[in-house]
Amino acid sequence: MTDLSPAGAKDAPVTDAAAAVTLARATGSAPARWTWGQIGLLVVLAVVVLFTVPNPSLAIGMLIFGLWAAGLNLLVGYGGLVSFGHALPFAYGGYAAGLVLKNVTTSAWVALFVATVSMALLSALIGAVCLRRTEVYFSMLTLAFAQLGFFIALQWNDVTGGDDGLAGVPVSTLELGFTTLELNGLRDPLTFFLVTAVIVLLTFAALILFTESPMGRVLQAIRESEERARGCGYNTRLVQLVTFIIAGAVAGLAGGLFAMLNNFVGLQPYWLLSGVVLIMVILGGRSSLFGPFLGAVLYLMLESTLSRYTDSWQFFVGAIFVICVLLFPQGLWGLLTTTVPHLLRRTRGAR
Amino acid sequence: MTGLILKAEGLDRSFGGIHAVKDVSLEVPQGALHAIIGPNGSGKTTLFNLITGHTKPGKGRVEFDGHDITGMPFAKVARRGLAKSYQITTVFPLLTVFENVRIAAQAASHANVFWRPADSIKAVTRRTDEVLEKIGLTADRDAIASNLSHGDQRRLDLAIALATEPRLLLLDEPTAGMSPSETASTVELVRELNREVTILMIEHKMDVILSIASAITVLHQGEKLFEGAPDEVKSHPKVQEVYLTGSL
Ligand SMILES: Nc1ncnc2c1ncn2[C@@H]1O[C@H](COP(=O)(O)OP(=O)(O)OP(=O)(O)O)[C@@H](O)[C@H]1O
Ligand SMILES: [Mg+2]
Repeated sequence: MTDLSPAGAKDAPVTDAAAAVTLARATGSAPARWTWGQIGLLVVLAVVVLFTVPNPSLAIGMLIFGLWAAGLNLLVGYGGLVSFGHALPFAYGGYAAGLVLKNVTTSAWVALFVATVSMALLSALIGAVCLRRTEVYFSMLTLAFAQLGFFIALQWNDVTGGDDGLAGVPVSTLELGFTTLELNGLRDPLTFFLVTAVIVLLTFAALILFTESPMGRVLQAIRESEERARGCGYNTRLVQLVTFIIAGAVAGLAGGLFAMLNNFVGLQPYWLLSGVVLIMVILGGRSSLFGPFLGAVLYLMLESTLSRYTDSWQFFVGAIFVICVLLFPQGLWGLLTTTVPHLLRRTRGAR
Repeated sequence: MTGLILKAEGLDRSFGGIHAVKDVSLEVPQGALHAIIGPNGSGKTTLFNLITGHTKPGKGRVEFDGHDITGMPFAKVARRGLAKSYQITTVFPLLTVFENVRIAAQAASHANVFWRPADSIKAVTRRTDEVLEKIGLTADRDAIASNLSHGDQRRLDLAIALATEPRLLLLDEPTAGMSPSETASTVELVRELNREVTILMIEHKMDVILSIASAITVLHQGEKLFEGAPDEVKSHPKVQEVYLTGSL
């Protein structure tokens, strides 16, 4: 799986951009913009997940992975910066939250705050290095950092638990002023789901706001032509760095939530997910933030369904991914929002 | 309208064995429409790149509005009020025409924040509409930039530069590849823009520039061959020779 993703991810931007141009040419207008509506769509998706996914920890995982993938798409889709190492901030967030819960306090606020903020700071350092290069060299640097992180996690036994990981992360508590909730994913999954949903929704809305902000718009302009953005006077490196920090912080938050859900942090699966989260992004489509969220939900659904029937489910997930990229490089959400309306218009026009 | 907005002294640059720009000095007064002409490969674009910081000069110095900007990064030069349009069209291909120009207008407004929606900044959208109107792209505002015709993309390139509200506008062959009628309307546009902004413009077609320029610099094989008013340039024997025979 992880072997498949880099190749797929590397090819996809080219075909995707080409497809977008072809499509834009054909329709002669910008693809439909669903900017603010995406928040509403996410509420709907969360409700659907809550009522249709029988396994509660899978449902919660969908929210967490969805947020993580949406954050990554800031870099990939909006910034044109394909990170091959987005497992790093997720895993780091997991360890950070896990260590706080185990050693300092069981407050979810503190654990998530530490995971998010310290990952933001770390992202500033990593981003400053990775963004010295562009395109595939940027991707390679992010991959290198993720590898580095993996080996630190493996070797630094005293802190990370090495191969065994951090087991026995205690159940966290969430102080809300008027009451204190216990976030126990096993005993009270509904509370955990609802709390996660609120955190995820608020973060997602903030990300949408960012993409529509002046800086978010500049990010997209840089993807189109960094030279021209510089010519307008923008500090393009800074805009990209801010984006890198936001994507890192969001991944740190997601990793922290995942640690709280599983009461465990370890090499598996955290460090193995750089490729998976990229697949989620590309499967769902890179032209929106909702797309990758949908991609994450579908991926996890596919994985859990297939793994019930066969041990070699990874093979089938990979095959389905390849077929999807070949058939609709703009992703599922891209397919639904641009190609389908376009086809409808054409058939209506033909009649 | 007094004083120099741009002053280049002894700019010099070689690429390997090619001496692209040889000891060229240039003075552009406020409000001028200064043209640079010369045959292919005579170093016009390289001279622009030396001014904008795209290429570091081997020797020489550039002053913009009284400040030394030699070798300063392009983005910084741009923030000081120097904008450039490109010989090879450079726009944001998959963004709409409106967004292409809006991004540039936003840069001038210094509203590079992230807590409010970009489209809600009225001054920026107003400025964008204004520029589109002036350049004549209002009808195409919602089109994707890469779908525009070549001529319209050239004009969009110019619109982006203009929207940054520059004090000096560098235009690198704005009429390149345009039809005669498109060329004529672009020349007229440049003349109009010059009422508000100082322009330094590279042009290949000599007839185009003679009618509108306030001063002309002729480059040949990287060297300044001649400089003067349009009618002087036209009648100068060396310039005629270069233009008639293609090279000396
Ligand atoms: N980055 C570079 N590396 C090597 N040689 C270069 C570079 N840039 C320009 N040159 C060379 O310098 C010379 C001048 O090129 P320049 O592009 O400045 O000419 P120009 O006057 O703009 O020509 P044109 O009218 O064709 O646009 C040419 O011989 C060109 O090959
Ligand atoms: Mg040139």
